[in-house]
Amino acid sequence: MQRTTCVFWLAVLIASAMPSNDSKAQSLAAITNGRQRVAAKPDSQALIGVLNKLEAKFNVSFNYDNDLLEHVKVAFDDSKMQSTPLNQLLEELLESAGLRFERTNGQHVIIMKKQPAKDVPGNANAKPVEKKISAQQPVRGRITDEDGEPLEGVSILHKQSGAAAKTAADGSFVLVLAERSGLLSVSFLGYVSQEVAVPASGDLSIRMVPDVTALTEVVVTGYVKEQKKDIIGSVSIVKTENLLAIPSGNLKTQLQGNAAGVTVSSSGAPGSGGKVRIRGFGSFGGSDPLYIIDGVPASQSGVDNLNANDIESMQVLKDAASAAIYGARAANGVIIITTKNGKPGKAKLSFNSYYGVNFISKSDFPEVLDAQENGELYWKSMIGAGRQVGDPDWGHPQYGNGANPVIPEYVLVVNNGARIGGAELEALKQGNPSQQALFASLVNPENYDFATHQIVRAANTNWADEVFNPAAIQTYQLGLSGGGEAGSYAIGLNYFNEGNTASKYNTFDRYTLRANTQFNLGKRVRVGENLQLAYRRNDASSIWASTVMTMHPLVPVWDDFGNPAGNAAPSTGGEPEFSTNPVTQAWRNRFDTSNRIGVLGNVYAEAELMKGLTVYSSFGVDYANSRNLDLNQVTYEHAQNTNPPNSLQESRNNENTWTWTNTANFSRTWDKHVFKALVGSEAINTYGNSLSATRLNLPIDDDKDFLVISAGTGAQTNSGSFSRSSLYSLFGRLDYTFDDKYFINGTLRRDQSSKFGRNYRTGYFPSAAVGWRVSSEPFMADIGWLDDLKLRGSWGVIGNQNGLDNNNQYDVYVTSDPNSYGISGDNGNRVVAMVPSRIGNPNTRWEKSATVNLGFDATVLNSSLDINFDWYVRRTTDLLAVNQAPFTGPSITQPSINVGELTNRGVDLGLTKRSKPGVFQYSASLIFSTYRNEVVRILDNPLATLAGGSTRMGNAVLTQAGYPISSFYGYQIDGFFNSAAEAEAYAAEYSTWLTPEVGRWRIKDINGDKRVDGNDRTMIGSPHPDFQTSLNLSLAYKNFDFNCFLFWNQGGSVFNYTRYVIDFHTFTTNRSKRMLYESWTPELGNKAKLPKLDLNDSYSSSNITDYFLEDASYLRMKTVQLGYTLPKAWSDRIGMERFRIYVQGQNLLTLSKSTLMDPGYVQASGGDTSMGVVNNYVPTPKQFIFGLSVNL
Amino acid sequence: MKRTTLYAIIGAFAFGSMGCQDDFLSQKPVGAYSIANVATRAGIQQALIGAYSQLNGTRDWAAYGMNTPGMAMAEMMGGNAHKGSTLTDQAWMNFMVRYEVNTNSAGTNFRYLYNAVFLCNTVLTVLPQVTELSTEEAAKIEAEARFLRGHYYFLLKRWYKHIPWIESTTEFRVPNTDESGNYVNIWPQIQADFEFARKNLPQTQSDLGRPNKWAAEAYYAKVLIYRASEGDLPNGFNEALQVLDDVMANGVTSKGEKYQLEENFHYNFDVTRENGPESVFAVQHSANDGTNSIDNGNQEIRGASGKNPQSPGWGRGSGFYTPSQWFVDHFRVDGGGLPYLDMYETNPNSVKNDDGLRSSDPFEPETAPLDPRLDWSVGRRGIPFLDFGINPGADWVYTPIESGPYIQKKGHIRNDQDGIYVMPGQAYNALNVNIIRYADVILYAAEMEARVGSLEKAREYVNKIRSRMAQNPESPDHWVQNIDGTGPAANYRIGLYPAGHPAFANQDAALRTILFERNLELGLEGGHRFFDLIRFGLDEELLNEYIQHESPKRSIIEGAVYSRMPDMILPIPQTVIDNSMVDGVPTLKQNPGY
Repeated sequence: MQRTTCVFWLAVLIASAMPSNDSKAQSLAAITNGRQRVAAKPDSQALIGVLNKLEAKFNVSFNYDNDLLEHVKVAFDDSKMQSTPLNQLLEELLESAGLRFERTNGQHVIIMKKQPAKDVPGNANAKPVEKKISAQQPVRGRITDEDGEPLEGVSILHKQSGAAAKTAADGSFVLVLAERSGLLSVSFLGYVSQEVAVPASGDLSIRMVPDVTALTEVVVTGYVKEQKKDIIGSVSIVKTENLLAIPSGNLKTQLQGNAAGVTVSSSGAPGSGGKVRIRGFGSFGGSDPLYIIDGVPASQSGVDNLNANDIESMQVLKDAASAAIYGARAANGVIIITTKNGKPGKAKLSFNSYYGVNFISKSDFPEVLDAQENGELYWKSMIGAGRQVGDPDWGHPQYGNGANPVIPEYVLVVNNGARIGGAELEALKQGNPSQQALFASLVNPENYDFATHQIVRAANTNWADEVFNPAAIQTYQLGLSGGGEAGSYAIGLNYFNEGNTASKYNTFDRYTLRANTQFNLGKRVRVGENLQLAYRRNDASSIWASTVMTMHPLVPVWDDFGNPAGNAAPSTGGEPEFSTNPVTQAWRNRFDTSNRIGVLGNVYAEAELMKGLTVYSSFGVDYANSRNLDLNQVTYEHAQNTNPPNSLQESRNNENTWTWTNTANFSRTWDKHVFKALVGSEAINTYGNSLSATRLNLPIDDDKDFLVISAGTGAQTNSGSFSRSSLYSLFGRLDYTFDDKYFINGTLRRDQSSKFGRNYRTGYFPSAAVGWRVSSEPFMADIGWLDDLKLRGSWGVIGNQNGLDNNNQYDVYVTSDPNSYGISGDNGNRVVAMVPSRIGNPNTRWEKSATVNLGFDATVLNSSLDINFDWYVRRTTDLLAVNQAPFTGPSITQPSINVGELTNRGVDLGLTKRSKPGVFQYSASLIFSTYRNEVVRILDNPLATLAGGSTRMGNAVLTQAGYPISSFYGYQIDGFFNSAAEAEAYAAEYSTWLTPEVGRWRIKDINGDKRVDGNDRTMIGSPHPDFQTSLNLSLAYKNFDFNCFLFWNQGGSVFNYTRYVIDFHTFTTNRSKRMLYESWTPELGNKAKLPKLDLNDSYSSSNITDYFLEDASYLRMKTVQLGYTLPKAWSDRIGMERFRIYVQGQNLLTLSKSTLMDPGYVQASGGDTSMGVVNNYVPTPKQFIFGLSVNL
Repeated sequence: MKRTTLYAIIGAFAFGSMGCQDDFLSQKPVGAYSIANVATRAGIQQALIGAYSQLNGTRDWAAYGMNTPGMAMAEMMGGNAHKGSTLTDQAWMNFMVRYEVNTNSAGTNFRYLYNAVFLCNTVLTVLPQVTELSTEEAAKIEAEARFLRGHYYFLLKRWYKHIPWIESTTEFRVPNTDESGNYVNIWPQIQADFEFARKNLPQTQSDLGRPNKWAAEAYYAKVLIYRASEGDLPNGFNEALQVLDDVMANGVTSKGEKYQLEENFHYNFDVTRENGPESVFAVQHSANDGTNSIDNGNQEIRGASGKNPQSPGWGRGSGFYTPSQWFVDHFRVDGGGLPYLDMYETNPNSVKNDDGLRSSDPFEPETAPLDPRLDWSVGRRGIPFLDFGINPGADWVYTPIESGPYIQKKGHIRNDQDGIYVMPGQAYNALNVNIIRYADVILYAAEMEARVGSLEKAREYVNKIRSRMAQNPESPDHWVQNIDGTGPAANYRIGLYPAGHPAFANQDAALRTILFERNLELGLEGGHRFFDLIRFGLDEELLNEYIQHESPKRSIIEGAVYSRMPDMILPIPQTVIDNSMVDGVPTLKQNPGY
């Protein structure tokens, strides 16, 4: 079908649904309406039915004894409701039935039997004498939550008579009883049910206590809401307050340690998201979980824009049984986020804010050499290379050629291109008179010109000190919510701002606006919307945090004349990668900006068609528009400069996804049997485009008002792209529960994706789960300490298409400038080529992941301890991997093909222990996650490997069958040659790339062939932790509260690439203390860390060895927070519901063996087959925070 | 809202969203072409451009100088140049220049060249589907594509020897052995490609970058010579000589200009005189050509430029690929202007150099006679370098300790051409690099005469090459001049081999003389040296001499031994073999000795 026809049909169908437009629909409506009209005789209406109508119309609630009214029929004309006041209507209605009414609070109407005239209220002098009258006793009361806030909708049941009532929005209720005796049962979802004796006189005031076991808590799982106690899949429920306790501009980093089975790794760059993985790594092409926000699948940027203050609840669906309803995209788990909506009751206004400071403490600075030590290291290395004072190659362009290194006065004079180093200047300074005159003219400030005649003095710069500065972090959150019979609303406005400790020019700002509303159209229909607008801005985000370790201490940050200094000084660096001045380069990038506007939300309608059957339709949009501006200034101060002209690049990117979901939900209870069914359809369409333009030569580049493409005068280039994909799905789910004891459910989803060829477009994803509440069995009744125990088991298959290119199935040719050629022979012309750019594979299928999950949920010891345990095996087959073309084939983009298998097996454990309510309360939660990842097979080739983790020594990371994904691969070091005899003996027996010499490493001959070569490389470590665990401890005493959050990552390795530069004679950068003090000497022997200092030893660092690996374990005290809440009486006096202030220290303590500034970045670095090679990143800062929280 | 209305709306939604699945799920790529777009008159030409574009070589550091037309790596391995830069940058090169090559390479060169073959094969596969072309047009396109494919295979063959012949654009796992396990030999296929090209290419081409019939003839002869040198073609030298004679008698450039030597040796390296009468087949470089990138510039010279903004290359490079003393010493001549063919036996004195001196230290350049081609090939202290002024020595060298005192000259353009023949701020210049120039043809002819014909003719040809810079009355004008106009910058002298000179006394001597002359003429411009040494069977002798003489100066080659790298070829990188699996068995067999 053509698209236009398709849209036309849709329009017709929608139009036909409008009553006035289509004769067929209209006549149908007429018939049904007519039938109703015929049936509506004036005297035939049930009184209860009429009262229901009045309830809706006048926004009141009636309380009555059901038996009294059940069979009463009345004559009533509905049209009278429009004009007649309620009291008059009621009088007319009730008169005939021998009833009367009483209005309380204006909202409650009690209906009772008519009394003798003398008792009729309204007689000013005659108060009802309740005690003496045995019939129709109204009992009034008010029910609040633990904070004294009124609770609406609480059920009150008089156990003896069956009389029932519900509380109004102000928490009040009235119950009419025959006599004031017996017990009232008070119950409300999420609170402990209570039984209260009916007082002989007076009103009741009942305070509800939250049900801390929260088994009745309702959570959103795939397309449905479930009570927590009924969940038989594996679902982690994240507490919103735990997220908010982490001061961060990104939800993903707030998630770390807060959900069992979820591992998060991130850097300390403001606003950055990090890598979230659920139960290990299930794919090669990106194992990001699927995020669903208010039912709408959200892109990564949609999630990054989310403000944790807006989150009502967050669930992580981990096993296949819970996630399979999301089918094709759920293989790496699903994170379901529901944002806040208003609750009935009066409007609530809240204000939350904190202000704090981020900093890196000096104790975390890298241990590198100062200027003098750097020279000493060089001298020792020259001696190690066999050089002697006076040899032609003795000396250093800065430190001279004497017996000892001497720090020169100047490190550099640039004299029209010639770069004169410090030692040479020093020689001139102390030379004959003409040399001294030359020196004087070279360093004469009169001659200074930044571009052609730099004059740079020697320094002793502590680069970490220069780079790291405290930076502010702050947020302001304003929330308003409320609701009533007609609907509810929640509005949130937030501003978040964070500076970067590694650059004072970098700031991250985020503004979010959230507006959620819901309208009740009658009792059965609800429509609403959830909307988030976000604006993020990240200015000057180019950071060179890694060069704080490698910048030469002789180089100052700025020269004497205020211009940037750099590694142009001879032998003070070289490669930009290792010796870019981190302070001045951040300054040069100060005008760079990147901002993004995001809109995420949906509109929905929900209708209860009949009892138990609800249909729901939602249309959601995830839209983002970003703009990046990147200025490249000309530099003169580096060994490798950015040459003229300067250039400006502006790029814009649009991404848009719409999702249309339709579901029908049915649930019915027969006796002990509960059936639930769900069917649904979903269409998702994603498209995006980008446009980028570059202009050379901007005459003014130090004023941001001139940074537009049109302000340039040089050559311009542009590029653009468009991408699109779509997904169409049908799904269903069946649940059956017997006696709240036996649970079974099954789901099936059929997905069709545009990313696959026609024949492989459709995938089916089934799952099944069973649950058994053992604690409800009679034989368990005697076990007093066990409150609840549910065993769970599930199996399911889910799919993945992450990382699959939209065009995977197509052979694509492109016109290509990089493949152009000056065929005419003209030096200034080329002809553009048309070349294959990717090979398509129409036979690629879904990647499938099958999970078996066994677990239990237990509540024990008087509901004070919760235990959630899961064991799983997750096996990914038909693994999508980018085909590895043989080297005899083209190097163009290869398609993903289904060749491979990997498994993750592991355990998730959650423990929560809490005290009873009281003056002193505590709660301690332990979360423990561990997984074992193993690649079973890739590319149907036992030797096939996916290489990653590119370094100057080659790839450090390999993915190969039999090992965890992304393992480190290289040579093993087997100690040192401590004597010439050892070296000679080795040399006689082995041949090796690292020539045996005293003080050098001995490389292990893994395969025993007496030759150390490429075949002796082996797996030397993995970036995966043995386990991650966290402990969240909360204490409350009177008005004080205390929170402490510990996070522990145990095991795994990190490849510290910085060692390549600071531990060896590679580039002429700064070096580590360990290189100077712990390199091999006869005294140190095998206790040494590094080979003997030797300027000629370029071989020790020429290959990947296990020397570069560090233990990535760390224990971090993430949060300590102390809060104080004003006593209620005081806050009432200043007109506030609640007033709390707190102080917090974040990341104050980290215990780690790693020499990296932040060991928490291991997995976030690189793609999933390229993890753990860490070099350039911003460490997670320490933070001091002061915050307050006000509710009005 | 009426309930029925609601039903109708929901029904419409549900039905509507199911109705357009097929269209909804069909999302073809945007802004990309299919093979139908290639199979047109314009498309096939554009695809052919793609095959040409690979001539430029890769910018990937992991294959520096291995497939660029300048073949820097072969120059380094042939003893003409040092790695330069720093000891630790691109450490893989250390193993190459020490002849300690292991199988542990990234395979970048292998992949690059086979991708180039693939682009040629794409043209050849699609060509029959293009219906708009006449037979002649189709034959010309096929001939160009096969010429290029022959060239890429030639490069592969020289480096790796035992490689598979692949013609398909879909099946790439082809063994390099036959059924009985013996290595395949693809020389016949390479020869057949050039055979087709020489039969089907036109005499002239309007695009000067396209090879004409005569370029194909010359390359065909080169293939015959390499084959015959390996003993693979019994009558190869004879056949080659016939072809070369034809080229010398009748050959014209793509412009239609008769082949001849440029009057000045340096014109071959002047960006304003490209595609002249001496250019047989050249890789066309361009700059400021509309790409707004450096993609079509000289990749190799970027690596060879230094870091001083006043120096050639304007300091925009990494200081690799610096001439060796051994190479410079080839240019020492006796009083008659003839070289010391025995290198140091009769004249132990190296050309005077400023190794280890700073630019501020006093230095007087060599006064002994030198072949004038030296100072058009190598930048050395005290001699004017194009319009950059007098070479100050160490100030222009990236790392004097690693690089020695010299810098490249053949690849650099003039200072006043910055921004014109090189993109502003970049080092990748537009200067073409010849794959074959006419001097090469004449020297091949000399060699063939020496091998199968007349030593006297061989002497004539060598003298023809030498006479351009020697006997011409204007020749001093063609030498490097002092800036102040006071005449030649050094004591240049170049003479011809007189009849009866011992250098041509017998075949062995003549071949050695020709090999020497090839280096004087062609050194540092195409990697000829390394492969010539192997062809002549003199690699072991001369390269060890080189190491012995040069290693005291450059510690990087200290202790190295050239022991005829197994079979004189590189190993097939292990990763290439690992990736050639079919049913768990590799289709490629490692080269012998690795």
